Amino acid sequence: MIMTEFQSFKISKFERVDPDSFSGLVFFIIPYFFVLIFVLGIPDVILAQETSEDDGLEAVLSGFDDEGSDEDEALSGFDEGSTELLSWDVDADGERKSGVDDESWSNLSGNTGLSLSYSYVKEKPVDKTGADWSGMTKLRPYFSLTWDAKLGENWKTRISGKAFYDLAYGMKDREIFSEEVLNELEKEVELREIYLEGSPFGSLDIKLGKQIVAWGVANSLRVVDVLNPTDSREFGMTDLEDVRLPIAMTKLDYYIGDLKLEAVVVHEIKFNKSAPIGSDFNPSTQRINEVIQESSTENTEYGLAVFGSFSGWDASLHWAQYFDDTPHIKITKVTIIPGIGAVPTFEQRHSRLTMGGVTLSIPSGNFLWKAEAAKLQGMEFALVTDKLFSRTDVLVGSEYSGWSDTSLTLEFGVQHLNDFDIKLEESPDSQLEDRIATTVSFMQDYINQTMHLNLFGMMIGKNGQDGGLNRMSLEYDVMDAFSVTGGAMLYQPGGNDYFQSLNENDRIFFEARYSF
Amino acid sequence: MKFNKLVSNIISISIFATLFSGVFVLPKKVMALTGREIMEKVNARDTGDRSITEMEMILINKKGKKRVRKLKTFGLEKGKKSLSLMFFLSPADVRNTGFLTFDYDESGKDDDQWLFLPALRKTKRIAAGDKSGSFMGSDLNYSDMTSPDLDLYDYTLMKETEVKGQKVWQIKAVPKTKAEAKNSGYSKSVVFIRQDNYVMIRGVRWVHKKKRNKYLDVRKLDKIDGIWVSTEMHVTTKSGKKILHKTIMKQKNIHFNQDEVNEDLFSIRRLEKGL
Repeated sequence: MIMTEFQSFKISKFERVDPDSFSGLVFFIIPYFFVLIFVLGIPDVILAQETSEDDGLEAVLSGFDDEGSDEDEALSGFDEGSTELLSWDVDADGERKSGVDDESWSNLSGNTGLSLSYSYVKEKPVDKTGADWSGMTKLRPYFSLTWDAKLGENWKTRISGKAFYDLAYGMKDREIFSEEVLNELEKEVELREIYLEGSPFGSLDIKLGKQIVAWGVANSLRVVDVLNPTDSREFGMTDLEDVRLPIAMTKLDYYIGDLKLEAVVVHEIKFNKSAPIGSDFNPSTQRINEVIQESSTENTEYGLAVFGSFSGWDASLHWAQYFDDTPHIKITKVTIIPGIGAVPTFEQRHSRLTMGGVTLSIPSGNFLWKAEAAKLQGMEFALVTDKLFSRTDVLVGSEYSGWSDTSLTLEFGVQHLNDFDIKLEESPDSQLEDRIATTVSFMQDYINQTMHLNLFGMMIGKNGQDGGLNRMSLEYDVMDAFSVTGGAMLYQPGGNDYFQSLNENDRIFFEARYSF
Repeated sequence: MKFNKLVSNIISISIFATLFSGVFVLPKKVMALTGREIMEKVNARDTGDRSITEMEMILINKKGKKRVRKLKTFGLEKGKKSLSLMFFLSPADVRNTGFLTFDYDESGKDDDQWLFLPALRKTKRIAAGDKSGSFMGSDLNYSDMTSPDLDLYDYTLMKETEVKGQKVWQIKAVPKTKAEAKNSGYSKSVVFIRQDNYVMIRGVRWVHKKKRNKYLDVRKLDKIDGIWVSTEMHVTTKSGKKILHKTIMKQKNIHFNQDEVNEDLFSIRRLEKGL
């Protein structure tokens, strides 16, 4: 969902804003959560503090002599015999048809459904000069299929794919939408994972083919998770499980005691799917050519990692040499036009980066503390061309699970551009020396885990002055295989151009999904 | 994401065996035992080792609508450490999710837990945390699935009685602190322990800060490889006499002392490989 959209703290292209400006987002997110929680009125854990059962607890702690009648009544509550069983439509002999599935060598799974979103802020254009992003912005039937097969004792394979067709464009003046929008967002058929994995001998595992390698311990922000590009076409709207894009790799894992040594060779050069020009998430009209490196031996990407899982803590070390999935701008030519002046020609390029990083996670009681840090070298920019830059990224976070059926996660990340040059603040680089992001996630389950509330907030900048978003959704499992989800996404404009461009993108969304 | 509910609700399945199984131990002088002594014997039962089990939970709401969860579990005892590995077989949206637990029999030491989320291709460390949350949406919670720390409770032998023709001890357990009541989710419990084998065959839980009771009722008790195993248990949540929700838990294809269940199985490597 949110995670990859924020890869590299997407604000990297944002305009710097007055540091004294204050959007109030920090005061928005937290009250917003609690207001919603109390409006819904379901979290027993919190509200229980106000119930009359407090008195009962005190009584329990001081002895139960006065509760004899209560106990007697409760102890008589067992349902004897098979009558009650039959009333639940369960066979009395206990050997009903409900056996556990046999493991088979081949398995087909997937899901299908309908996803829609409705933009309630944007207005329909008065003429036909611009695309209509008002009202129904998505009406997308989709289908996903995965085939898993075991090949002997130690090998297995997977082939998966996904397809969708968005009917929303046909419901409007389709011709007004840009070619890029229709190509990227109206329909898609995509092979995702295709790999073979197995254990050729002893402690060695190998995985070959299009796959996903997810590094890091954070939920919402990414520091060392650099190998797979992401689907960033709809900021904040993509499902977490669909965010990473599989690419062709060879992965070797070797196990020694509590350690795993991992080597990854990335054969396919593929970058983030970004919002197509002219879409509601990229209203720009200026087309900038993007240079995409060939998938060749020379451009091969590499990754190495050591993972340790110990009693009471986990840690990992990472190194990677790769192309930045988010492009930077390069000025390739400056043309002097009389009466106008110097007009630069831009190109989007991907820097070759080297990353060294570390992660740590430590559980303690109801808390899970986690941290990631990385240094990236080789960053290039348009306005300072005589040197390469490095960046230090740090993330700390905590997950609290001390309330029943509830999880609360806070993550805080900083990207510091080393040896910062003030020129980089100007367009087209629009860099900040320090970029800060904070995310809060609250999840709670109700009705024996058939209903799931998910609240997410992200703010950019120390006080949220650079924008952010808030997403709330409620999912209900109508039955085991079928669920419906509804929610709303609210974008906070802040003071930078990118989030200001999303200001009218607030929308409600709905999804019905059948899994098989 | 539904996976988060797993994060907040899954608990070691090896511990599950504690609830469901027990070794036949013939008490010598049963009348002389106190409630605490009986519970010590319950906790000390042999629950089997190097086990493989298939489990099914049928969740039934008050309208009679059913949901089914299926799991395959592996368990190993290693000194003061219980290792467990479990994989979800259904429902479809959580299939192949794996959960690895190292449960330490040391006071104050948290369990080590890892969850593998196949949709994210990621293994995640889990805080042992609160034990009052529902286990996979069932009527049981974490604390129902673990052996209680006897030092945290006061046990009172209420009386001797009979359940389904079997002689049992009726014992009341009360948490000594508010914190334990909150963590376990129960303000008190009454359990019925069979006198011939120290297996708990019934229990009533008073849900902390709610006017609800949970009734645990073992419906099938089998002796497998010399170990008593509860192969079917019904857990009903009631408010007064009104049934709110019910869970039928079944275990089948139970095998102990399996050679393939060794320490190598209980690793992140195997967790990520799946079944």
